[in-house]
Amino acid sequence: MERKQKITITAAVAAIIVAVVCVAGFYTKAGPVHQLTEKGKVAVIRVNGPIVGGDDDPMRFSSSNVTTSGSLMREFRKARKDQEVKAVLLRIDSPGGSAAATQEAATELERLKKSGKPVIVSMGDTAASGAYWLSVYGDTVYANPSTITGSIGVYMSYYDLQGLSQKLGVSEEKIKSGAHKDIFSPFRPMTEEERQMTQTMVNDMYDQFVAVVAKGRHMDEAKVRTLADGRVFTGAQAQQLGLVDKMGNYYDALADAGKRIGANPDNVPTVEYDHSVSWKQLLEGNSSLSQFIRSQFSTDTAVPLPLLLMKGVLQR
Amino acid sequence: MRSLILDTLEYTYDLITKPKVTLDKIVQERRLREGVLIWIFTLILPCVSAIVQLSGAHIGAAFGALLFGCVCFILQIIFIHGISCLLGGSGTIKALAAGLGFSNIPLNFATLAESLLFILPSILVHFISIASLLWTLVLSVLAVRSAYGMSTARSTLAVCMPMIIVVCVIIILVIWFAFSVLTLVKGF
Repeated sequence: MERKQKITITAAVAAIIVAVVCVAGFYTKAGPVHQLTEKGKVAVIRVNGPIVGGDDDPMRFSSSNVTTSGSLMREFRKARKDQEVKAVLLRIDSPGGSAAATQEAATELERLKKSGKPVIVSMGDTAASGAYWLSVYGDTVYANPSTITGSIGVYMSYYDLQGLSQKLGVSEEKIKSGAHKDIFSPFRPMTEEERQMTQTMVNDMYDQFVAVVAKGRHMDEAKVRTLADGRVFTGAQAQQLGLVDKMGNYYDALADAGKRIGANPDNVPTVEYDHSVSWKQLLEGNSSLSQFIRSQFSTDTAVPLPLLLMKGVLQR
Repeated sequence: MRSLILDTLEYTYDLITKPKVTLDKIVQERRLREGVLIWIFTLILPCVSAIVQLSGAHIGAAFGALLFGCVCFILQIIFIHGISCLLGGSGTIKALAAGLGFSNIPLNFATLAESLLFILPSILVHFISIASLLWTLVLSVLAVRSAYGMSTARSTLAVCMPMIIVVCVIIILVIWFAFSVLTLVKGF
C-alpha cells in the first residue's frame, strides 16, 4: 500500500478514536442516553442503628453502628438526582435518635418524594421513635408482625449528680452569663422554671412529630395523639391502628418497589450508595482492596478500576 | 513537525499490520521522536476522556497525571535497560525508548472501549482492555528483543521484571503495615 494511503487510514482511525472518546465522555453525563440505555433501578437506602447528627468519618477504623444525618441526606440527594433510580426502598432497623438529625434527613426525603419517585419503607427489627418519623414518609410502609415500632414521642433527660458529688467532696463553681446557661448541669437540680422551659421544648418537638405522622399517615392529629403517648407497638398492632400499611419482609417491599418501576419483582435491579468499607474490614480480609478503593469514590462496580483511579487522580 | 507526524502515522499503520518487521525498523533507525509522540498521544487520550466525563476535574490535575506518566515511562525504560544488560543483551536506551513508545498503541483501543462502557457490556470492555494489555506486552517484548538482540524468553523476563518487583514490594509493604497495625490490637 502506498505511503499516502497508510497515512490517510491511520489519521482517520486516530481522529475517529479521539472523536468517539470525547463524544462518549459528554454523553455519559447526558440524561436522554441514561434513559435510553439504562433500565430503572431501585435505590436501597439503609437506616441502621441510632440516628445521630453529624457525618461519617471516612477514615474510621471499624464499621459504624449508627446512621448519621449527613450520610442519609447524601444518599437521599443521590437517589433524587440519579436518573437511573425510579424508586427508593428505605430499609429501617433503628430505635430512633436525635429529633433534629431525623428532621434534617426527612427534609431531603421529602424533596426526593416531590421529585416523583415513590418511597417504599421496609421495617426490620425495630423502627421506633425517630425511625418511625422517617417511615411515615413512605408511600407504602411494610413491617413484620413482630417489628417494634411506634414510640411516637420525645424526651430529654439529664442526670442530677448533686448527691453523689457531695459524697465525693466535689463541687462546681460556675460563673455564668445568664441564669439558665447551665440548665442541664448535673451538679445541681433543675429549677421549676427550667423544668417548665424544658417541657415547653419537648412539647414543641412532640407537636412537630405528631403533625408529621398525621400528614404522612393521613390521620387526624387528634387520633395520632391518642396513640402518641410514647408506647411501642408490634407491627401487627401498628397495622390495625393505621400506623403501617402491610405486613411483609424486605423482599416483599422490594418486589413492591420493583412493580412500580416495571421490573420483574423477583429480580429487581438495585443500587446502594453506601459502599463504605472500613480499614478494619480491609485488614481482616472481609473486603478486597478494589472494594475499599471504590468505597472511597462512592461508585458502583461497573467502572474499571484503572479508569476509576485515573478519575480519582484528576478529581483530587 | 509535519514530516514527524506523517512518519509516525505511517509507522503506526505498519506496526499494526507487520509488527515484527516494523519494530525492527523502528529500533534500528532509533525513531525516538515518533515513539515519544505515540506515547504522548496514548497518555493524553485517557486524560481527555476523564476530563470530559468529570464535571469537577481540573486541568491542573491532568497535567499532574501526565507528569506522573512521564516519570513512570522513564523509570520503565531505565529498569528494562538495566535488566536487559544484566541478562546479556546489548543495546541503547534510545532504541528501547523508541520501541516501547510504539508498543503503547494498542492501549488506545482499551481507552476507546472504556469510554463506551455506558453502552457496551462490561464484560466486553474488560475483554478488550485485557486483550490490549496483552498486545502491548507482546509488542514490548518484540521491541526489547529487537533492541538488545536477546531471546524471546529473556526479553519477556526483562519486560515483566519491573512489574514483578513493584508487586512484590507492594505485597511486602502491605503485609508489614497490616502486622504493625494488628500488633496494636489486644490479644494479637
